[in-house]
Amino acid sequence: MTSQLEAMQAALAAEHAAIWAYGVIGTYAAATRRPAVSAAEQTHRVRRDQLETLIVAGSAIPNPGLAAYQLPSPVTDPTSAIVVAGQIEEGLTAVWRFALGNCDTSTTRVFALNALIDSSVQSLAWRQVIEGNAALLHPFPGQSA
Amino acid sequence: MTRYSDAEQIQASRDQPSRRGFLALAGAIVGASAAGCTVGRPGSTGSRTRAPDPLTQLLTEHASLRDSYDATIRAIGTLGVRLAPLKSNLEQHVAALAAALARKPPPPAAAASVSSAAAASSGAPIADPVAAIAALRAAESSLQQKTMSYVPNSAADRVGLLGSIAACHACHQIVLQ
Repeated sequence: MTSQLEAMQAALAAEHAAIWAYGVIGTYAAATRRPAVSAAEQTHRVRRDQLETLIVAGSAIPNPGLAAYQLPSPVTDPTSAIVVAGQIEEGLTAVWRFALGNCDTSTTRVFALNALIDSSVQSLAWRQVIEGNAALLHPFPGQSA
Repeated sequence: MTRYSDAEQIQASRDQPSRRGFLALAGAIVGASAAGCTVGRPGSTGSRTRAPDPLTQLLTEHASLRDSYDATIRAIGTLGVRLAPLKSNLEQHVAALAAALARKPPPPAAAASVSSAAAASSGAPIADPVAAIAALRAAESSLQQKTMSYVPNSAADRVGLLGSIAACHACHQIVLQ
């Protein structure tokens, strides 16, 4: 069984990776998309900081981020940048749902729940940019198939 | 009848092993059984029946929203393509919540008896697509909040499911804008 701390550290690692990925995405995104990319990146920076605070409050040391990460697929142009943004957010829904299932306080549960909802909504928003109304609506965001 | 008075009667009957005492004991047992069947008695530890599972109400409300999608699609056929994936998700929520409660999913309401979210207050037929979508969006928002409210205090094996369902309701609101 995963402890709450382990789940939080795993979520922190995913948030570090997402922030790094948004740096690449912002470089390739179309100018019209950059404000939205920047806003999404800021959301993750705020969440990372709050998560580090929660981990410290649990008398643990937050794991630092890495220098670089592997993207889920190559980013080479504005379209692939948004595709990867959708993949990153979708990956986070799974991370946060897993964390939610392993949180054992009200505070951490609500934090994980809000992160799960935010990433689900942001994932849909990016997928709608690429796929329009055909973007798939998952019945259980974050649940493994 | 409170548990305390049940206990008092049982004790009194034990003190008096007479015919009257026997009848009092029998009455106390019947009373205790009836009280045990009464719903909404959290904290009555030792009761032979449990309080209803709090998820039951959430299941009912999901079935109701599923039926609202059904009614809206029936009334305004042009919304069918747009609403079908959302209705399908609600069907899956109903199935998953029913499974968590180890019971059968509530069947869809009969066509004639369904009042949609749009018509729920007035009983008027659903005709205006814009109003119908707005009503469904409001219902999704309300059910998202309701589902979220269960997360802090639910059993650990349910919070993931509840979180995913709440996230789905948030996504539905985007599609219904």
